[in-house]
Amino acid sequence: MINTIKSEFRKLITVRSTYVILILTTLILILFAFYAQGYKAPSSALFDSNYFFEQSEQAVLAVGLLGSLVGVLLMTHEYRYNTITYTLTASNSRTRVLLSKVIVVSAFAVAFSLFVGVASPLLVWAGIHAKGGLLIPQHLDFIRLLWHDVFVGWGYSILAFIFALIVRAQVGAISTLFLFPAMIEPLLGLALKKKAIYLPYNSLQSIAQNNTSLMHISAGRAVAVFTGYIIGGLLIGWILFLRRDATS
Amino acid sequence: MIKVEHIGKKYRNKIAVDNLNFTVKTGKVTGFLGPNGAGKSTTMRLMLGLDIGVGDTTFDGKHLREYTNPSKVVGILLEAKAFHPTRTARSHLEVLAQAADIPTHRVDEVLDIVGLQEVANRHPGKFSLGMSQRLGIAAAILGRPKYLMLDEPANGLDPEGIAWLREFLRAYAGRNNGVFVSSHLLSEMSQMADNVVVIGKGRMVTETSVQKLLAGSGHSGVLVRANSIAKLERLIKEKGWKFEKENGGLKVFGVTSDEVGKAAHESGLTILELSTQSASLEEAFLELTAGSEEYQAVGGKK
Repeated sequence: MINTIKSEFRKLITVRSTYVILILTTLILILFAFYAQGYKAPSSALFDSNYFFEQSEQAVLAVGLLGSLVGVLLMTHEYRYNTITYTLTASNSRTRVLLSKVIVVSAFAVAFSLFVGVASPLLVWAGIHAKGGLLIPQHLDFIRLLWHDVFVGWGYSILAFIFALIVRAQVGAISTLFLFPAMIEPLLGLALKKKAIYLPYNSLQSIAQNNTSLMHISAGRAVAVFTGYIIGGLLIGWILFLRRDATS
Repeated sequence: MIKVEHIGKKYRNKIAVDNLNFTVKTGKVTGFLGPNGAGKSTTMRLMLGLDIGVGDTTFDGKHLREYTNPSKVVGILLEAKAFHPTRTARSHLEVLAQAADIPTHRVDEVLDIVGLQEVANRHPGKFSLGMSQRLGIAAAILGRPKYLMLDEPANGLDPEGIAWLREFLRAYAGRNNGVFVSSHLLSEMSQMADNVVVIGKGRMVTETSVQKLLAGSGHSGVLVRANSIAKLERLIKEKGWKFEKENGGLKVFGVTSDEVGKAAHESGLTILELSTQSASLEEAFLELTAGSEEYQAVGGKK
């Protein structure tokens, strides 16, 4: 099992796409955190004691989808380039292969969200200082910030991984990943109205956003709802992974 | 020994592989022959558990999933281009080595064996088909497996590469390993394989040794030339042997050269030539699989 995990991790770090995604993420963070939210921060923001906290959460929400592409590619590359034949014949259990991928995607997602969650407020601070501004002392609930950032980042990645596990085709999985929050959920929201908050991406966003609006549920409830989707999705993906031909 | 029992696969209404039974013995190269679309690749995937179907395949009496490290039991090459194009050749092999708990220095060894050491740090996306095949062979032998299963490994190899592959596989089998290899290069197969499994339209056609296959072919016979062809023809007709005229002599089927020579001598004929003519594997293969091609050019049907 450890060898399979190490092998999956090696797959992740030996392809160009992982680095392209990390570089893009860093550039987006510099553009939005340093420049838009720091250097160009409105003066009212300088008196907001929760500014760092909000920026950290917003950053994970903003680039979480981009980071989740790594998980999608870890799965879809296997089918696109037929390396799945090697992956499955090197192991005596398909379940073990799948579990290893889930662990590696999760580990990457946690590291990615921590990077974004920490880098974002630092870049905001640097941007404000570069402009010569001064932010009032910040109130930082580290534990809350940590689990919000990590859960949201992991949630984005694992949901994307489930899409890839079920769809298998790279273009199909990436399209689903972007269409689901941008088009499918809003359309479903029209029918579900207030209950739309229980849809996967809406519930995930509720964790990171302060639940002051009527359209949000508590973070704890959002975690429970979202975890339900993940368990259901992984269960379906696992059954398909066991029962489908390795190549189509 | 790899034992394949009653394996089969159906896609909706089409039977791709139908109740195949055969064995792949250690110490031998077993060729896997069949026309395009006969189900060779599907059979290999079924044997490895990559495709889901019916039947059983055991490797030395155990299913592949019962082994702790299947990479040390069977090495595979099912498709030449099965690698990520931007992961270097060395990294590709390191990923596989890691998964199978194989020390990294083995990667350099196999790169040396297949002659890819110089391009080990290049992206294989730009490799030629021949180089890709070599990388695939390197991946297959990485774990020093007891069995090799290779699907068309000679595709894209130059003549030197094909000769190397032939010698390599024969030597590999010679170390009490089993090699199961499909190829459409029949002349190559006749030099490489000890046994052959022939399938057509997903069904078993025959499982035999190359020697027996060639000897049993309708194209094998004894070519005899004598001082009087007319007298020779009369003699063969009297004996009730089947024959046809060929190269100024007669090709007699279903008898040995001893029998023909003795009969001609007793009739007082002077024998000018007496030779056994074996069918080529191609002739034997075409004879066996006649009518079982899945795809056939219109011009081929007359």
